[in-house]
Amino acid sequence: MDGRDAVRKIVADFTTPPANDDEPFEVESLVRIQIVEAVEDAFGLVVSADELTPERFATVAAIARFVAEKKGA
Amino acid sequence: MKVLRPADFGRGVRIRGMGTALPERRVTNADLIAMGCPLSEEEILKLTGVRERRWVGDDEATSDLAARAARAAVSDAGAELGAVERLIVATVSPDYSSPSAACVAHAHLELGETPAHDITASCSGFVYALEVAARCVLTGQAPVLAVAADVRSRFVDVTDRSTAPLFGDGAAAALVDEGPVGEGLLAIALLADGTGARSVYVPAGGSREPASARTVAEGKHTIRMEAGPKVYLKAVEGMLGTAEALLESEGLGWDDIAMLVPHQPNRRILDRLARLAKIDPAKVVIDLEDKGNMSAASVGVALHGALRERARPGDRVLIVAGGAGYTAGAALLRVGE
Repeated sequence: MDGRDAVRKIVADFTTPPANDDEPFEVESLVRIQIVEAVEDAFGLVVSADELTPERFATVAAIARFVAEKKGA
Repeated sequence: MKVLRPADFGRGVRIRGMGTALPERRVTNADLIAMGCPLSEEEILKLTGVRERRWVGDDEATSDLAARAARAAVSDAGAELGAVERLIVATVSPDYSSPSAACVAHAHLELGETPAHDITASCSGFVYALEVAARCVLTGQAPVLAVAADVRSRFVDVTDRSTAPLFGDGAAAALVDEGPVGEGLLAIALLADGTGARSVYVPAGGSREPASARTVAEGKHTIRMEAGPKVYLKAVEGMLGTAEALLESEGLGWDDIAMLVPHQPNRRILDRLARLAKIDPAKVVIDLEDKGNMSAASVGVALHGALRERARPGDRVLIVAGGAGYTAGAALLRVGE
């Protein structure tokens, strides 16, 4: 399972992800932070406030890109 | 970050007594939902860790809670109100836009000519008030009442999923006085980052956008949180960074602390704080399940309970708060023998 599949599975625990991974999913802020923390747990990383831009956690594809960049850094 | 250490002045500052005040009215999650909160009881508990909070009645305001907590602190110290040389009230929800809540509480307490003023530092208010009180004591003005009181329920939009479940009303007060060097308040530090000034705020009712029929119709008199997830992470980073900086400045680590008493914004933030600090979760004081987030008052109320129920002589207790503005503050206390 690549990063995008794993992210899609995480998002699916909180809301129904759009069929297109580049399409934004809508959740309220208290749920979005749960998704952020689930991503942290799954990939063993810590997201900072400055990293948490609306764009980075708007879509499954964007989260997967962020994780890949963060893990590669 | 500049650290204030009373010992550097050859003096000691202590919290001589503490008191708290909570309104009688209990608002459960079911009550909140009945008022229009669009979440289930299970969701509120899961997202915030709050089961109920206290809200003021129609005839109560911030100064009433502040005065009650102040009286309790003075009584706890075995002191007299007439001895108080300054009254400080930290609040973001004063009775009126003007004058200060401190002046209204001053009248309740019949403090004569004692100076009184507010401090606005949001959820860091108690620590800010404590720091100013310590500076007063160090320059010979003592004792000082450092009070933190907030009535955020008046500014809650119950239909706002992000903020409605969080807030409760309450007050905490500390009578701050001279004490033995090396006990009581060992070190305290404050900071602010104004880039977060509109992170959590009440848009209308101030000089930028005065209250009008339009602002009320648009709900601009209620609390807005523009970027909830970022504020959430910022709250943890602010508290953690400030706490670690203060510990480092004193040559201490988390293992040297008997208790961490943080501001109580929501349960998930406190769990994250403990996880990132790698501190024993049992050392972290959690006191929000039946109170909610009482803004400036939360850390003071939690400290009051911790000192009464858990602290032992010689314990080092670290309090830390972070809030809108952004503001943050931390204080290291040593419990007297």
